[in-house]
Amino acid sequence: MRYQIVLTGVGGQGTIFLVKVLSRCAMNRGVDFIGTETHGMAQKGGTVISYIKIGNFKAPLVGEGQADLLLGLYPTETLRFLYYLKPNGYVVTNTEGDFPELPGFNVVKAPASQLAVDGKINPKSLNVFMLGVALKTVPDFPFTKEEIEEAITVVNPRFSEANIKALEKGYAYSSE
Amino acid sequence: MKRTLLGNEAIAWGLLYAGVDMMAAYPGTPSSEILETYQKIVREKNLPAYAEWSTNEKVAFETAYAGAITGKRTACAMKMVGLNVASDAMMSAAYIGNKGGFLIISADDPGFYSSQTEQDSRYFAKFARIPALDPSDPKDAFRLAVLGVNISEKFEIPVLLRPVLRVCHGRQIVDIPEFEFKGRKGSFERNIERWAAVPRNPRLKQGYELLEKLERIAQFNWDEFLKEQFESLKGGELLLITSGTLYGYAQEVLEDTGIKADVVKVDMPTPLPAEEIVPHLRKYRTVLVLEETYPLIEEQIRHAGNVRGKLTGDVYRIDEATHSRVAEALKRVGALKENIYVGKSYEGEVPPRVPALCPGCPHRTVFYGIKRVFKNRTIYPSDIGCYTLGLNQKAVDTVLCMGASAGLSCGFSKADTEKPIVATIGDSTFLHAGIPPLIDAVANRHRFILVIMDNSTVAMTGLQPTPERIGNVSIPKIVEGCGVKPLILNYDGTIKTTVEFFKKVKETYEKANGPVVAVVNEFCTFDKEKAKLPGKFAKVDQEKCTGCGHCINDFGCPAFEWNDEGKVEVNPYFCVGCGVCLEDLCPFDAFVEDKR
Repeated sequence: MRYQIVLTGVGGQGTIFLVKVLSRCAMNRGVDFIGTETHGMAQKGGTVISYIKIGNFKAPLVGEGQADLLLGLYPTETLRFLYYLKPNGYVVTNTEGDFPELPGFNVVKAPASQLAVDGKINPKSLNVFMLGVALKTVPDFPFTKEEIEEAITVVNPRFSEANIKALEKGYAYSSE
Repeated sequence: MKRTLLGNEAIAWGLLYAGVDMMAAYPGTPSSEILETYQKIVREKNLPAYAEWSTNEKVAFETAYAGAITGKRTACAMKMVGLNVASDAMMSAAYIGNKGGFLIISADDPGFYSSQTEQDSRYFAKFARIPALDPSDPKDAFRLAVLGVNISEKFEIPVLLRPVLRVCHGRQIVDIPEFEFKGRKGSFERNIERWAAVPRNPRLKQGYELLEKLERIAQFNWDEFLKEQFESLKGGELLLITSGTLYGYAQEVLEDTGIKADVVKVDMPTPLPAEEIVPHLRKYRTVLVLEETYPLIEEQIRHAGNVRGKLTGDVYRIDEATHSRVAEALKRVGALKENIYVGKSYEGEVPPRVPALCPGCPHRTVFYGIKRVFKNRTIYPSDIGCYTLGLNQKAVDTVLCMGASAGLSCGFSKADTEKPIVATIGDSTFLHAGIPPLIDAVANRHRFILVIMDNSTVAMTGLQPTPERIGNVSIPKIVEGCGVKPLILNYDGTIKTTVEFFKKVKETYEKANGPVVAVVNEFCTFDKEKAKLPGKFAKVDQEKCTGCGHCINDFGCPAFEWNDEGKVEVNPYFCVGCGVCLEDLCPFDAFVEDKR
């Protein structure tokens, strides 16, 4: 298996948690994993980008035009890093208001910020909600729902219930 | 046991695996998680080991080095600009050497992600005449951390491990073998000729010994790391000599493009056994050197004649490694026709997202208060920390290095006597390097205001504890000890109190003939123990907002956004309920509480 994900958002949204979850899934499956995450300077509200490479990879970053999936937790940051995506790759993004057409890519949208403000999802689990959306809508997503649930439980047992609920909501949202 | 680890976590495991039982560090991105992880494992497994956050990198170096003098295996960690601070100790320790293994970890930041320079720490190793190790990924960082400690002990010389950002903050599945951790009892044995070698003859003797050691280490480098690789090379068109992350990029780019080339991985870029390497290079038409950040390997082997890299203008010379940059280099040497790493950018406009202080951060209110009182015709030297972002409020004019807010103020006060000077520095930075310039200011009567923004944590790098928090060190007492009685503000989350305080500071300054120090007791909004956020969320009364922009330009909370009508809105997703904007910010009182 070879699958590359670029994960973007703003500081404080929990991109690192998702990197941990997906790396855990890879380990449990027995496939290689390499990636890199934003720590430090990106304060809450700053741009955050993480790279997730599942399979036999050697370098930490994803090459431009190479990602299979761009998972965007914040709309502006999705657009900012679009160039990492390969032709016909998938964009799964949180949107606020209008989100432009992106010809040449498959786009899945979910208004997660609004759902968080309205109290329909836990703002702290917006990251996992979006992962749930991707899991349901991206045909070649590398892991199953069960694998992700298992990893979520191991990576953060204290909040696993809330996170699994958010994953379910994301999974259900996209099927509506 | 297999684990998914950050490079920094893998390094911490490597230290423990190698039996390092004493470690010291000063936090700095991208190095901070090394000591954090080391400390966490020691605590969880109840290992007989000591770890500390030191006051600065030089103290961290000296603390750990002393352990190695007594025969313990020790390590210190820092970011590369921290190595500048520790370099005085390092240059000298290279001559003296150590008994137990001693690893210096200096994390580089190619691409300036969170650093003011891009310096290549491997050069510092060459300068000090000590070996450097350059890991390519987290797995390799574990391996080289262990080897580094062993090499240091074998040759009785400090060894520098230089992981870059993408290794430190890379994540990979790392297999940590089972091991039994044993600490060592340190014992200082008097050896005045070694530990207290003075100029000229004792030092000269150590200098000769160091040169001889270096030759032996270069030979070791050949025997252990390079010989097998070079001797298996058959020759041909292209050889890639790689070091650090470039080893990974080179392999991926060759695989993606189908280019045939041989690849050598250099683990120890200095000291390099060039005379062993060069004959093998001549078996190739072209040798391309790929390394971060400066051309250290290239400089040592370029005399082979067919070597290309940064010095020949074929490889990028600044910023971090990417697939695209490697592909461009391969294009330059004629191995690749087209760079395949090209993506399709979004054609519309994406608003820039500049780094900003977090919503609810007290620094913002303090800068706003300073600016309201001292206006524009003031010099605002600042320092290294979150509060550097006061530049968004135009309340920061200079950023040089740790402690320079006070040091530069000393000079500005004599060089430009027309303007008032208000310098800002964080508590950890003040303790790290701000005290000597304050003493200088008292002694030489440099007239400026030093505002110590004290949240008693190293917020920028992830809330590491400070001397105040762990040892009751008192900043006001230190300031007083330097000869100035500080003015103190306990931040209460209101603009009014903050502005009143700085008016008082200004009055004091007008009468002063030396430095005036203000200590503001703040909190970091991420600090669970201390943060005070009253849960007063804000929204904007659109009738009252005139779109004057004062709140966005001079206060600049990331939750404030322009809407299509040219008025300001509060993005509820970012508002943390600090309530500061509700009073004394908007000239038209447009901010009102958003009861949630």
